[in-house]
Amino acid sequence: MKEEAYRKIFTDIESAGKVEGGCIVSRDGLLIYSSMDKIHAEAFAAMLATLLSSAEVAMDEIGAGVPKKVIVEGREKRIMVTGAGPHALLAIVVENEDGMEEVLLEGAKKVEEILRDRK
Amino acid sequence: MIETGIPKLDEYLGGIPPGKSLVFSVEPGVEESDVGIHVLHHNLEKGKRGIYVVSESSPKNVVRKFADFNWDVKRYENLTIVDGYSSLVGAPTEEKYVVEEPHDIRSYEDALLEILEKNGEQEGVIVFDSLSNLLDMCGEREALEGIERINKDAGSFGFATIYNFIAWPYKEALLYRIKRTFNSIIEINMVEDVATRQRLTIKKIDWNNNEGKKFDFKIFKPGGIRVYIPKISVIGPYQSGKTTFIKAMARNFTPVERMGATVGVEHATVDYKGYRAEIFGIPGQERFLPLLDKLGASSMGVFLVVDSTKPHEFEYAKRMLERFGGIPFVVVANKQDLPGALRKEEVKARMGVQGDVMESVAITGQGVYEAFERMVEKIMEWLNAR
Ligand SMILES: Nc1nc2c(ncn2[C@@H]2O[C@H](COP(=O)(O)OP(=O)(O)OP(=O)(O)O)[C@@H](O)[C@H]2O)c(=O)[nH]1
Ligand SMILES: [Mg+2]
Repeated sequence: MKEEAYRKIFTDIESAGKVEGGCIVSRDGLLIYSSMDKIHAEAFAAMLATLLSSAEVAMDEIGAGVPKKVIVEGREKRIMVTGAGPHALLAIVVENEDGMEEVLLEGAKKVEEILRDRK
Repeated sequence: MIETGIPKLDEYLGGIPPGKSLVFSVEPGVEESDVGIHVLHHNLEKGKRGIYVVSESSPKNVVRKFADFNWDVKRYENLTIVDGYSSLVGAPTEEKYVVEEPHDIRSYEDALLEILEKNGEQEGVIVFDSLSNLLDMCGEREALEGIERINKDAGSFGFATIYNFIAWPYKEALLYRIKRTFNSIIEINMVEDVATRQRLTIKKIDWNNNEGKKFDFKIFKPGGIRVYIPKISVIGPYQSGKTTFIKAMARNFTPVERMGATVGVEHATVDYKGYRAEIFGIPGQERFLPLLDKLGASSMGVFLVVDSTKPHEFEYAKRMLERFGGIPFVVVANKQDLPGALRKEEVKARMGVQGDVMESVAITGQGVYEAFERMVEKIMEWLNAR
């Protein structure tokens, strides 16, 4: 079951720092997996995909290549989004991003592998 | 006729005639009781008699299973539980109807006959949770023979029978025998690409021609079973009324607006007549077109909303639509309340599209749900044609 594998990814991420949770989302905005409750995950997923794809279009416009990650910084929380292979993205909600980039990118690699396996 | 209460499925079944037996063959991993509980609840609500034969888990769990959906099982005097579990594990029971010999299918027959005879002639449904368990406990051949007798008895009292079946990798021969024994087999599988949901396929039905029909659904707790459409996009020229159109039919609307214009993808959830759809609104201004390509992908349907007083925008609108390829679409000829608004035939002719054009006044909500209904019909047809 992929659920299990996704859950494991978030257990790993969540043990690495002050992480509230996160989502795996298809590039076009459909929810694949969410570790967060009490949110409207389908809407959150659509917004995450908008964030990343808007960033891609903007970066491409200035010839800057593919964005490594998108960070949205609030007063207390941040959203970090990164691509996880051609079909998906990974987003996490953290209190502080110190040291979390590594964790995010590591997680994204795992997501990409899981999604590749099923093809 | 007996209904399942599962939207769309009832339409395909045309109701279950009393005396017919139906198996929900559920892929392991899907919570197998949920479908049976849903059917039972629907019939109890309609005042029909419901008999729930439990052998997978204790009768106490029935209360919890209903409560998961926010349903209070205690309310229903028309529900009878047959306890096939307690004597299996040697537990005490408070149930009135107990299967004394859980390894003997005849013991089930006895309990059921007693209830049916007491009940007299009143339509209802018997739900078995589960068939897999009966096969394991009573022996496959004996169980199926007994079940045939049960189905017949049930029919003569005006009941239909429903069996939850967990589709473990059983032997081909057994699956074949199951297929022969029951009047209808409905398969439920997980769809695990994105937007986790279940797919329901009618594998066998012997009272009409709807074999092979299928659709996707999701089980909501609370809420129950809904036909599920993970993505419908709403596109159209700048200020044609897309946001207003979405708001008019949605709950949980997440707007993304600056000074009256949409500047990002907006999302909404629509619940209507047993359907749930996730709606993605895509901004209309030309500079957002790159987003349309990225975020419009994997839509199952597209609403193209146009301002019916602005035919000069139709060409651009049509080009937007063409980016989606051949998926189901409905053109919404909006702002019908304005003077000079073109009627749907005119919009269709000027735009040069083959397909449905529906009229609406999004600000009052007029025509909005009609468009939604047409859309889901088209998506269902499209799914079934593939
Ligand atoms: N008269 C009339 N006005 C409408 C109708 N539908 C929408 N409007 C108005 O048209 C304007 C634009 O509506 P929106 O729903 O924001 O349009 P939109 O397509 O989402 O606009 P963008 O996202 O910026 O492209 C608003 O002032 C609405 O009140 C309608 O049926 N009749
Ligand atoms: Mg808008």
